[in-house]
Amino acid sequence: MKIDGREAKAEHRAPLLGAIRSLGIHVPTLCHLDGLEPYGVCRMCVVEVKRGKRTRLVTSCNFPSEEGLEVFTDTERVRQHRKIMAELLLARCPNVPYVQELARSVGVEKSRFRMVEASDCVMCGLCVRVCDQIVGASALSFIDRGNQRVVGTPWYVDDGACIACGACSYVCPTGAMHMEEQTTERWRRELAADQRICRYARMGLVSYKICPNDFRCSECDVDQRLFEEHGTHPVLAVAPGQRSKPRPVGPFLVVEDRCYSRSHAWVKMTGGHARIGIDDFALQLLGPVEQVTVHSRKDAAVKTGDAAVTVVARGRRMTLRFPVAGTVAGLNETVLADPAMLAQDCYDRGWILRIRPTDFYTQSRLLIGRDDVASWIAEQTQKLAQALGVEVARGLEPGFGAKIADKDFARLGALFLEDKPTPTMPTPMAPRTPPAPQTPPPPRTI
Amino acid sequence: MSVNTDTARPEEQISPRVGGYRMHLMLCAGTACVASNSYRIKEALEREIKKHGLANEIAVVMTGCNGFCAQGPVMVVQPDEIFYQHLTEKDIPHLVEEHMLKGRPVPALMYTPPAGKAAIPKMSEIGFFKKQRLLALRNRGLLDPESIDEYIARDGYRALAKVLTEMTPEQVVQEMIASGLRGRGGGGFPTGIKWKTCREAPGEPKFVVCNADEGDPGAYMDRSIIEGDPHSVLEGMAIAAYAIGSSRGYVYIRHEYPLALQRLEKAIADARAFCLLGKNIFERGFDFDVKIHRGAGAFVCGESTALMASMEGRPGEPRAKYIHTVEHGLWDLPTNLNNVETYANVPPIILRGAKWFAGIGTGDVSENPWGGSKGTKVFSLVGKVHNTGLVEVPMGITLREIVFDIGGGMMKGRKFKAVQTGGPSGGVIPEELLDLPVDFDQLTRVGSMMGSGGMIVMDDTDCMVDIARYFIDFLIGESCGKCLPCREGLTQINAILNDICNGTALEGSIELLEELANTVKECSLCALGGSAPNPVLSTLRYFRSEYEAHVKEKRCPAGVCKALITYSIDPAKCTGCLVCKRNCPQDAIAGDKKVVHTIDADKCIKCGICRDVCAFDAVIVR
Repeated sequence: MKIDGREAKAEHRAPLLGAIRSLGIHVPTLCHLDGLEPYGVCRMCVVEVKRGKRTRLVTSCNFPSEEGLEVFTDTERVRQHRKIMAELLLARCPNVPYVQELARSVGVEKSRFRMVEASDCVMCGLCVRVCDQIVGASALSFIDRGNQRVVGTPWYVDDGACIACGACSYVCPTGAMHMEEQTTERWRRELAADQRICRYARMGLVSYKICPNDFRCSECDVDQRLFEEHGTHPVLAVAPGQRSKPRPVGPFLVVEDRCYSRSHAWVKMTGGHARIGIDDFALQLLGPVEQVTVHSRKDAAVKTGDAAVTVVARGRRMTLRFPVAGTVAGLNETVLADPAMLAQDCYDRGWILRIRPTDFYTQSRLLIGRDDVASWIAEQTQKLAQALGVEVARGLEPGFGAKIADKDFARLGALFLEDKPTPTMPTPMAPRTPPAPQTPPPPRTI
Repeated sequence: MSVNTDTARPEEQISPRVGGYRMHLMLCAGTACVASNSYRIKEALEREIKKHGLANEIAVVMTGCNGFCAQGPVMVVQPDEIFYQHLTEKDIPHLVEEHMLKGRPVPALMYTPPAGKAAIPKMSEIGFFKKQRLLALRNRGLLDPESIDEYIARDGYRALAKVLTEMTPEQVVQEMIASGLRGRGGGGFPTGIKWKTCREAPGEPKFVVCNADEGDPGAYMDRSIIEGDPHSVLEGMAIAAYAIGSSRGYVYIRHEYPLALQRLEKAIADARAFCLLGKNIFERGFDFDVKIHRGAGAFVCGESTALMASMEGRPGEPRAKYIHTVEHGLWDLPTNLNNVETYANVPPIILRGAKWFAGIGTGDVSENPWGGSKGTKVFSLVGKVHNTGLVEVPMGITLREIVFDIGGGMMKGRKFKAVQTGGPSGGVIPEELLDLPVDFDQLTRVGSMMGSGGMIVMDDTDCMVDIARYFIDFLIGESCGKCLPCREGLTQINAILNDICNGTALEGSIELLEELANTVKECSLCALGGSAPNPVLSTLRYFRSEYEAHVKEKRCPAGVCKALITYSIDPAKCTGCLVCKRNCPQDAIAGDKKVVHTIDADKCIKCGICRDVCAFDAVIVR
């Protein structure tokens, strides 16, 4: 690949921007942040690419690298478009120093366009995307469309999804995102002393901690220490939201953003509701699911250990029990109508029911937490292979569940798919040191 | 061919209309005709027919949209093809008695061409229908869209039977490539190539999606196809599914199309009952079923990636298409998305062969699938022409033929000025280019586009700056606001156009407008933003002098922009009839009977009512 006439190397299909910057070439960006999926909306990073005879204008933050590509980052056409876009930005945010500086860097001092309505927000979407992809809270969203678009909580409703981590305001390049004390204020008002979970515990950065400081994080030494340790906002360094993708542990997929019961039900808390489903381990052991029956109606009060769902696969039954107590809030009709879809996606679209739990954080201490799930599944896999008398690598390939004889299944079911509560209270712990991410803070220069 | 003969059906379910009548009254039940009471007319017809004891001889059939919407409600009497228009309940007793009983067609209810000649009885001889060639609309007005029997009787599902029993999926793909069919949703991407890429893309399951989120103002071909012939779309989708190896189909249809939705739901239920959807179709081990997904009415959701985001339950916003949806589409799986009209074109291609299809249209697609435009295209012809409605014409027909032969020429004898093609983000084409053959590449070359097929004809009372402003205003409301050039750029374009129309624009604003429009066009994230400046750029290209008149001379040549015009009355033409005075909402007109009227410029709000009501053309706009 050639960039401005210089040889450049990049991984196949990696975004161009990385390769361009590695050559020390300056490309202005606004909506780009390392660690987030490219969004491609500020369009400041446009470059020209030439493949064969065809030249076209693309955004370098998300255009995939490819062999033989020729890239031009500073042509007349590119400069012209960047200038116009800087003028557009300046017309929107005339008083924001960050935007003024960005405009100056492409040679624009003053916008020829009329100021429509001065705003501090450049609509880069960093706050929304950080909250979704890195924090995993998805508390923010864009509201309305076109030039009416604003950032806020979905439908302007405070639904309790915000964990008050402050990552949104930390990444905001223009200072438009202010932290308001709304969430912490509510916590102070509503939560009893033993329910006051530290915000870093909610993010999964520390295991379990009760806040002794009335949620005044800036006065808390744990907060100070985490910032110092990571050199950036701790939630950015640890990125709990990126644990929401399934990853393989041996022959099974696990997702590390939720808790698991010992009978292989998973439970994930989002915005006041806990979704409950079945994990990949149980699903593979059962084989292709034919029927899913839910035992409780909507609005029923349930206790931990009550029968929640019966899953039937080739006549074999497994009862999934409620991992936490609460009130049933809804059922996933799609899964009930088409249980076969569990095989495709049992962690996301394949949730089975959702409940409004009573005091989730205290209850979740009895479950297998996100930090322990991988090792737990690995251990279960070993046990399963032993019980079946096979090797993990060869005996547990996809579809192994269907080959197990019925009488064996009864034995295995009792071993693996039934709840044997062995609650051990995790001791409140000081912040764990995560695996040394000594990366410097993300470059926010332009 | 036999269609699942083992599916036992009670006798009464078979449509009673398929045989045994001497006359069929094909009454239009498209949205426009239903709005002008065609169901009332149906009742009246049935009442009269019964009264005369003809119920066993004459059947009334509610068909899909006939296309000649301006003349609605319309009815075609088969087998003689006698075309009746503007029917009212009052006309029915006379009509039934004269035509159905005595055999004398009623000229007063027939179409009379604008030149004022004699009425034309036969539908195929009316200029509006004469030059049309119906492929996608092949069953238009010939069947009851709610009857699967009638569709099957018109060769329906035979193409599906053919691909399942005689062809391999590869052969189907090859046939589509050879036909040269290009996507009718606007992009013009070769359908066969899309199917091939999707077939070869790794990932299971694959999806077939039909884009019925038609949102262009004034365009309604997709709605009309679904309302008039829903099974043709389902059949096309099933063939696509077989070709790419999919068993799941979705139709993304806008919520604002209740009638289309209702007929589509019925069609899907009927096809399932006939085992033409579902498991093991034609007992060839091929499974395919279709689900409907209703869109909430965002224009941008017609864009493929936004449509898929919306189907997944996320906000309908596009993403960069550097990675195509045929590889990573719905839920990141290979997805084949085609437009309604594209799918409707598939069955005839399979039945009659790619060669036949490639014989219609322009260019040569035997080597390069982009080398020409084949087949036909449905346009919704609206604006200031006599005959407005839905027309299907072969590719390569000239704009002049569409406007003057099919459209019947300009209304009120005014002068043709321009035609806007391709919906709100299409471009305006001037009179000099009227002989342009209509196809994908020619329209793009002159700065417009095929789009989904809107065609708005404008005359010399339309101001081009105002037209551009109108479309930009529509697009501002429909932009999702995700990327900067579209969100901020369109707002600024609108601000400049407003200045020009209000006469407050400074020197140099035309150049600034042009610069900005180019940036929005080249830098926007999706095709909505990328084509949004087309109305501005194409009017600047062909009607720059009109912009200059607004900016430099503060004058609106077409007499539209209110800030730049004044109304006055030509004393030579005014007869003092008082009509304008009576109609003026502001009491701005002075004068008496047989005394020349005058307009008080201070009171006048330039609403234009006086000009519209004046029978003597005495109101002057400057």
